[in-house]
Amino acid sequence: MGFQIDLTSLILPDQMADCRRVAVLPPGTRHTEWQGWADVVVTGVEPGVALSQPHLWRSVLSGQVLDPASLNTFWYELTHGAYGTVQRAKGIFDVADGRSLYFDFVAGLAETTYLELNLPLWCNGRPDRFSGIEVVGEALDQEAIAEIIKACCLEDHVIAYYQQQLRESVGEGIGSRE
Amino acid sequence: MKIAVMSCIHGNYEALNAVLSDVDNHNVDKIYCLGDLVGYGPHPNAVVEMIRALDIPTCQGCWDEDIVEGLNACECSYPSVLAEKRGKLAHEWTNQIIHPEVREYLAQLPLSLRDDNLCFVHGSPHNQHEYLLPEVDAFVAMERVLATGADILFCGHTHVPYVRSLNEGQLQIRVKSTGKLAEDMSFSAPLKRIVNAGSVGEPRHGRPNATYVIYDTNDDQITLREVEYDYQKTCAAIIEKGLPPIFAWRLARGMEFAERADDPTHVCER
Repeated sequence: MGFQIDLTSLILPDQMADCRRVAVLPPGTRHTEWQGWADVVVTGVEPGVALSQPHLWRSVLSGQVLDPASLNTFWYELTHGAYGTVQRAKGIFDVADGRSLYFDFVAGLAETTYLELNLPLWCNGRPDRFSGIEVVGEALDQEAIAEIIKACCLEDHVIAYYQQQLRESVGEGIGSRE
Repeated sequence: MKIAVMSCIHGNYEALNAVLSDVDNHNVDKIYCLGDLVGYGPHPNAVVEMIRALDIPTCQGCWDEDIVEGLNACECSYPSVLAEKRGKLAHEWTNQIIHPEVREYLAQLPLSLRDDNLCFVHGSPHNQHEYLLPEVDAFVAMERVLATGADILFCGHTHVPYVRSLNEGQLQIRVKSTGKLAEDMSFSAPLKRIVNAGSVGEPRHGRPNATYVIYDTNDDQITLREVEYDYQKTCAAIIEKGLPPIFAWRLARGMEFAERADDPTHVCER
């Protein structure tokens, strides 16, 4: 962990009193930059997958709308090793029914956490808000991952079709968060 | 008499060979095949040549039809955008590699076969693309069997084997016509069965093993067979032939490549 984070960028805000830096590290972690940075070190659980050459892959997907069934297939394949060993994967995805979904996978834990973000349903055009994916793993087939994500994305006319239905249902008071 | 029924080979020659060996070991008198000889797998020509060489009576599957007629599937064939793209990739690859005589053979396959009180189809008697899932409404299931006039309907297409008995069915209908009082009618349906043979080459039961069925007409016994084979050889051929590597990954885990019906209430409109 931590190989992609610049610790000097983690600055505690001055206005918060009595703050301490806390690092949760895997058992047996010694002599890392985290020990020097943290005021308190907490021993966490063993990582589900030990990586010898960890790699981070990320992609911004803002403006893309994904087909939910395709996203489920892709996520299953990704987190079960179809595109390399995955230790951690997180994503925020806009899907066809207007929702923004958060996916969080940790190797060794039983299930991916799925969360519907508390954001308005996006009913008009391509979403103008952040979405993206980040994967930490080893021997990741980045090209294949990017290709599959692209295949999960909907074209303009399909998005327009779903959003038309969405506007009608929201107009009838179904599915509205207002 | 022992009858072996196999379906959905999908160009998986290794799996077909293993099933044929297993059939040999069970003193089977006759083999029927329910189609989908091609599609997704790396050896469509070899599979068809083997079926032809053994003169196995075969009905046409949806993939066999698509290779002859072009893609024309109902929406039930593709549960997602990704599945549709993968299915089209497989179709295009198969369409390019298939030999002309194999295409001709697929074109002349019948939609159903009969043997005494047994009927053999790929999907359902209505068409090759319709899924008869085990959870499908009993009335619909009974209608499909009665439409054939047979006692046992053998089908495939879902890639998950099952036996479903439709016994002691009591049907009640109301007939209304203009100017007449509604007439209530009821009648009992005799015992009928639907037997799904699963899939030889593209199982969807969570293991890579091939499945097929043996029916013994003497004791009316139906046996679902699951056969191990060297699936790694098929996986290697998928990659070597330039098919999407994800097909190999999914085959090794007993998962569908792309097609998967999951709505038992869906009536195929194709």
